[in-house]
Amino acid sequence: MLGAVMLLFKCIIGPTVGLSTYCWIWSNYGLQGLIPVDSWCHYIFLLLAADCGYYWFHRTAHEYHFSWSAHSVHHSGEDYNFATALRQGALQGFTSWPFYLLPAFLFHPALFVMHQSLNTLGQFWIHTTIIGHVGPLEYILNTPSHHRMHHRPPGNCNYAGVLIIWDRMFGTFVGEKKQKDYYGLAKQYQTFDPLWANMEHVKRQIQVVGKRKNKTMLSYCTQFFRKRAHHPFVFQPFNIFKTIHPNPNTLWNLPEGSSQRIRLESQRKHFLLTAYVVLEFLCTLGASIGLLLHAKGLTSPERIGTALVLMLSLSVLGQLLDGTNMALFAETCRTFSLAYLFTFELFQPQGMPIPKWFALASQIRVGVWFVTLAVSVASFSSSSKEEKKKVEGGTKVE
Amino acid sequence: MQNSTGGLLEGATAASNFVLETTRLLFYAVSHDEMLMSLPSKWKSPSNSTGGASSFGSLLSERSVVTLNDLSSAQLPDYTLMAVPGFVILCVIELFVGLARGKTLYRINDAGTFNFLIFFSFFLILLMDILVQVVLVQ
Repeated sequence: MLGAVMLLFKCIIGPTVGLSTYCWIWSNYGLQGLIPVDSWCHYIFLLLAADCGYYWFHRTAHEYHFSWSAHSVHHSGEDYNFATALRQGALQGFTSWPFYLLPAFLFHPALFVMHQSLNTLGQFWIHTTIIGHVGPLEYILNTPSHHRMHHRPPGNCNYAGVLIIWDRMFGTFVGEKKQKDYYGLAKQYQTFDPLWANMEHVKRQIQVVGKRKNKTMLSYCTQFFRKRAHHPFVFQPFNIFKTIHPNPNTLWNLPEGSSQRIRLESQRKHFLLTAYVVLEFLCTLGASIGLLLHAKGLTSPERIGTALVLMLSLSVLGQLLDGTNMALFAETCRTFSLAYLFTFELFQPQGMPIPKWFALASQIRVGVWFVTLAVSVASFSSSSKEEKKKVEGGTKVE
Repeated sequence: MQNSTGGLLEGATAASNFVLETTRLLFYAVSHDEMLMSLPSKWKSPSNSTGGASSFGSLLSERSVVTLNDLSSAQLPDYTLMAVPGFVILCVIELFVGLARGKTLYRINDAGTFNFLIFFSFFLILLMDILVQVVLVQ
């Protein structure tokens, strides 16, 4: 019974199960010879099918609270640059795969995998402000100009992946008239913590239901399947030939003036604290690579434990960028517990030998952390005193 | 002198090839033939090489079975992994273009967050996979 429940759980959430289902459909019901694998039709139709699948997934991700919970992480970046493309929600893969099952009746799974990867990669270059517009290509391709409109709040438009034709056909296209430095969520997250970023929209929806007078378990569930953006179903294929309003941007121009948005900043900013976070991130990166290289030699509890520690580490580092007191406390606990773990050799997996210098390095880290903590706290308290004086001085003058 | 110039030229060519190879993936620049090359021969449709069209009946009866294990053992090219240097190259270019035009397009806080998010997502998926495997085995 438990096995069946877990299998169902895996079927619902597992992105690999999406691919398994694709393979199953292709193997059992696919019209395998209809479009020969080695013909160019297979390439072109699969490109279109993968892109159309992405369009509908993306549109649904914006329409319902359930899928927006996963996708909103991608929109949380207030700086619009290539790195925004890499900012993806942890749970997004679990909501996208049903949209890619229809091509399984016609296209080979291996080629589908390659096209899906290329479709995702093809959306990297559109996350930038340094490219204004690209002339006639704006009619066919999803370009930085089109995608900026998607990332500018409220942004429920231009859902295309590689080709903009889907938006033009299904009535969700909005052209950019002027480039504005205004990106992110309409109601921005107040944290850099990746754990909270992934849970923030869920938390907000629970709060929304919590404020109601009559609330049941069902109302919590139905809230996530309510629409947050409404698009009437439109199908106008000839719209792709319509003129796009002329974009005054040139190919290479940046928005003029300063940003119209007050961006999220740390409560406590100090160069040393930032440098510490960068250094710790590099250590976590090294540990991640170590885990990946030796994952096969580890037992399941060891792998789960290591993955959990790394996830919590990333969460604490994000909180350190927030600069809250809680983060300082959490980091103190983290450095101490890791030093304790390595000094007394409590974590000695057989499949991954821990070098002896780890103990010394973890003790040095505790020292480095305390120096960082002392300096940043001291500088923060002195700067807050200065601010207080300024405020007091200001009120006296008034 | 000639040797060093030749070496420099070779290095520059290799570097430009590498940049081209990794960034082209970000612009869908992979041909169908290139994709087919990476497929095992059993998946390249034999009926098509003769040019014969299949009847509807044969479409349903003569079928090959592809599983997830087949896909992983086929060692298909991992374009995402191959494009990682391309991500870095374009980000660096964007950063410098922005600086040249007097704009700071990247902030450490924001860059930190996206990095944390990438690895967080990765570990969550890894963790779920391990947990499911553990429970299913038990």
